[in-house]
Amino acid sequence: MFQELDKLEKDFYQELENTKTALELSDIKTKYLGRKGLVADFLKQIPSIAADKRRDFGSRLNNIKKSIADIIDEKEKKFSKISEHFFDISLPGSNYKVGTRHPITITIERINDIFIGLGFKIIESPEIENEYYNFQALNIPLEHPSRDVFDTFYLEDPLKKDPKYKRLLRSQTSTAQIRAMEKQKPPLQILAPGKVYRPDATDASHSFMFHQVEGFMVDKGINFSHLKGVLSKFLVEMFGNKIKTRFRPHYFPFTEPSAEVDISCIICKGAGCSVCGQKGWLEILGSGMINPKVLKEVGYDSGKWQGFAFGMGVERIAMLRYGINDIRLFFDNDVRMLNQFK
Amino acid sequence: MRISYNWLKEYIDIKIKPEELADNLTMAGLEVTSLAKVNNDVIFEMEITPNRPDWLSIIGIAKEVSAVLSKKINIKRSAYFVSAKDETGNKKTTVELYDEDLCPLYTARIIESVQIGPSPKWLRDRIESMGLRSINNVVDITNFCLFELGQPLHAFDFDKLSKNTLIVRRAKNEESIELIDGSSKTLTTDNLVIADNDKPIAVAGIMGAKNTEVTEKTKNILLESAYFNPLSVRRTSRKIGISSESSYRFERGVYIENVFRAQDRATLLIRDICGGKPSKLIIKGKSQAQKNTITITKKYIDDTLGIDIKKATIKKIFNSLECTVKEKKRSVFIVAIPAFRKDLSQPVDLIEEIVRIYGYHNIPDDIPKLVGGERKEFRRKCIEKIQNVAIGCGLNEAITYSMLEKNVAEKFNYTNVEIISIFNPLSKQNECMRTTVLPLLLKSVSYNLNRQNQSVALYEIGNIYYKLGDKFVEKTVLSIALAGFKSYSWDGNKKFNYYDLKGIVEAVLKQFSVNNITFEPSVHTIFMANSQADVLLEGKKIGVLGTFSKELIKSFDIDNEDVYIAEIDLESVFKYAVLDNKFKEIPKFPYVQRDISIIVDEKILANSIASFIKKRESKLIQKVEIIDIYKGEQIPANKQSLAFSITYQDTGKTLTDGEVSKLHESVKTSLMKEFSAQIR
Repeated sequence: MFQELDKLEKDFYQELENTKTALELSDIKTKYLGRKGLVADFLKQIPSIAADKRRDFGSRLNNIKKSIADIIDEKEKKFSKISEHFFDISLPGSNYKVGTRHPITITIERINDIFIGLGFKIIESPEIENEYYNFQALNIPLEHPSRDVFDTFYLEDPLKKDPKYKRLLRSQTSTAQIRAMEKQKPPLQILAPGKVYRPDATDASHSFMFHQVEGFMVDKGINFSHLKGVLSKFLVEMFGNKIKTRFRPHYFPFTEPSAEVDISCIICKGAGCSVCGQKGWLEILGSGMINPKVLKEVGYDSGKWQGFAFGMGVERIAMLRYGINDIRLFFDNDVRMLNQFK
Repeated sequence: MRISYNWLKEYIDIKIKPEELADNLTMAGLEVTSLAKVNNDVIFEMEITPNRPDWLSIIGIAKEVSAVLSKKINIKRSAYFVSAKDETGNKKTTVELYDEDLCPLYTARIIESVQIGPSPKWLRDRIESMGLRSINNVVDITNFCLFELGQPLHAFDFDKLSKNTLIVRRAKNEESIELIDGSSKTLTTDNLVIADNDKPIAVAGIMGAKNTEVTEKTKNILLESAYFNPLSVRRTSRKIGISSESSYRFERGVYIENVFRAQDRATLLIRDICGGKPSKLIIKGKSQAQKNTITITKKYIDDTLGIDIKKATIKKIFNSLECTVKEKKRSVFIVAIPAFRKDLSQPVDLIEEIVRIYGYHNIPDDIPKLVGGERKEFRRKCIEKIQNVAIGCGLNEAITYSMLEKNVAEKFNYTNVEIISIFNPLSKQNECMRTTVLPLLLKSVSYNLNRQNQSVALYEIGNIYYKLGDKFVEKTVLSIALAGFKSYSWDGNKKFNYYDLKGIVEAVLKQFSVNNITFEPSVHTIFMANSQADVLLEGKKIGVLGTFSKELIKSFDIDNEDVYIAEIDLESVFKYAVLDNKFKEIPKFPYVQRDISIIVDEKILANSIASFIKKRESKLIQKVEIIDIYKGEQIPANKQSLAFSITYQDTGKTLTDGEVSKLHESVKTSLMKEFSAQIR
């Protein structure tokens, strides 16, 4: 008889454990504690139990009945709290808004990362410059047609005499070349991203402020083949290995030989479209072997040290990468735009 | 520059298609930017780099085509040389050259009894293919020679020259001239003119004057061909605001030999087309072109290009470019530079010539040995950290312009520094440099709020600029702007407030283990009077934060939102910043937390009480937190109720209840004394 009581208790706990809903719990309650339930069945049996064991049996059964009732009661309270209210898991999670980096910053960082991998070191260089660093030291004669592309914002009267004291906003990041070489001895491998300024009327493709990345390397035995190798590697990392690259001669006062570097148009794949002006090629980089005149200007022995340098416009690359068609969007800072860049 | 394909073919036999030719030229550094079929011709648009004035003519381009395609050029020499028997005229004139520095060479020839009229069809076609309108036979011929040889010419109506005299001189101050295009210019002594006995008749190298223009009535002409100083032409052209086909070429430098070839070519064409008798050429100044040689070794070429190029190839390329080569000893070349290549002055210039004809694509790619060495990029690492925190706080990075309107800059100049003006601004938008990013960030906030963007949280890490005595200072700041909704969801809507801003500023500064950060009430006019603070690091002001004044944001078209804004001078932060901090051992003994609740005057800053408590027992009090601030019912007027939670902990042992109670009681007592606090 007592064994049956043990079994009753054991069964109850097992069933309880499998109970998931209030409905199931109510079924169990009826099954065990109901008027015709299992506990009631045992109670009915009490008179037929041997007198010497009747007392023990009765008290044991009572204990079981009480603990079953307590446990069910407790569980009912729990269920009434949780499962009787509908829980909508579809509501959006709590607001943890994560911010964004500016697409120009993302692009500069991507460029930095690639060149860091190639051994370059990132430096900063002043935006407020003087004529010497922006022009003369870079072999750009002041009153020469080769200066026409470098229209410049002056911060002081450009008629002042001494170029080192004629302050202006740098019109290209090549100034960093001179600054770095003046300060450090070769070998050097340097990348200098930053803002540059030109008095251009603002439209979809012109801005009076934009960003450039200048890079250069000086060591013994650096040659044109190295320039091609490093820049080709960069372009593949930046634009993927499906692009074609081409190097073609150009003229920059601070490099000789100079090369302009194109990639096959990433929009039309070289077939010709409005982005590449039907040419199938996109101009990405200006580059060249550092002109011995420039090395001489910073006191490097050009017989011993050779170098290459390159520069690129960040907005242009960002516009190509993201398919942005108006440079002004970068400086409006519309959050509907900014939120798109993670 | 426009180049007519048909015209080009007069001097060189081109078998390939125009597109292919364009490609070949582009890959040799003469960039063809577009091609267009016009009638039976193809017009090339070419970008001529400023180092190659010799390409500013059809024959110049033909020479390049000849080098690129390895084809001979054919030019009929006799058409470019006037011989004595051609000089049948006998009119005379005096030419005086006063300023040889501005005009090293001047030539003039009278051609008498010319018949001015329309040009023959072939000439008209040539002129029109260059995008010009045919004017009359004489003018068309001078233009034809300009395009063919790159040497500008000018024809004067000889009979209009007073006293048959021509003088090359500096203009007199305030001397004025009416040009062929109808404009009037006032000149100074810096400008070179061609004059007759009493008036200027041309601005040298730029444009002729109306008073001596060749018209249908012209009988006798005086034909000018000269070399004008490039710098002088450039300055005058900029000064009077006129750029012409002629000034464009003089500025870049014409080829002195062409002064004669163009003079003779035009003379013969005029004689043949317009009739007339040329007289003897008058030459003033020096006429010899300088010849230059450059010595270069094969080793230098190979080392610079990273290849082993054949000697025969080197020689062949030099020859194709009209450079004569002599091999002095083994692999040492002496290269004679043709006089029209003034851009070739040092050995690397020759290397560029070799490699551009050899083909950049024939140079292999190679990765150099890395330089290596220490990479100290402290500032960059610091900025990277700030970026991460700012993004983590939900801010969008903005980039705004470094320049702005002067009146706005002055209004926002809260640090009272000297503003840097732009000497040559393009518009009001770039009148001066920013001394703070705040107005620019506010512009962006306004832009967003006025475009239904209801939540604006921006930051920018950028430079500000100002003058300090003679020095121009440029330093990096972090600027933050918050406006509108912080969150907008079923969970409840929250708007940004002052403490959101302050929390972000604190989160940023905590990145650098800089400890002594304090906030003090401030009085900047750009902020609302009662919600602004200066940020101090080690007692030194490093920034501000606050709510923009209503009046200020109204002028930026913001009506119904508060704009919270902060700016921190990062240079100061970087000075104290620590990136690699040491590990602090985790306490082994438990802490005890006790709260304290007091009533004090409402003007006492809660944080001043918290720091007071912290300082009292700095060894045993680990942390003091402000857990509640209450004003209102049950609190007397002008008072506030503040609650603090104090964490007591000894790193060496477990504090007993008695010890903590004693400490806590002494804190209470001191608060009563120091702040007249009433303990609740």
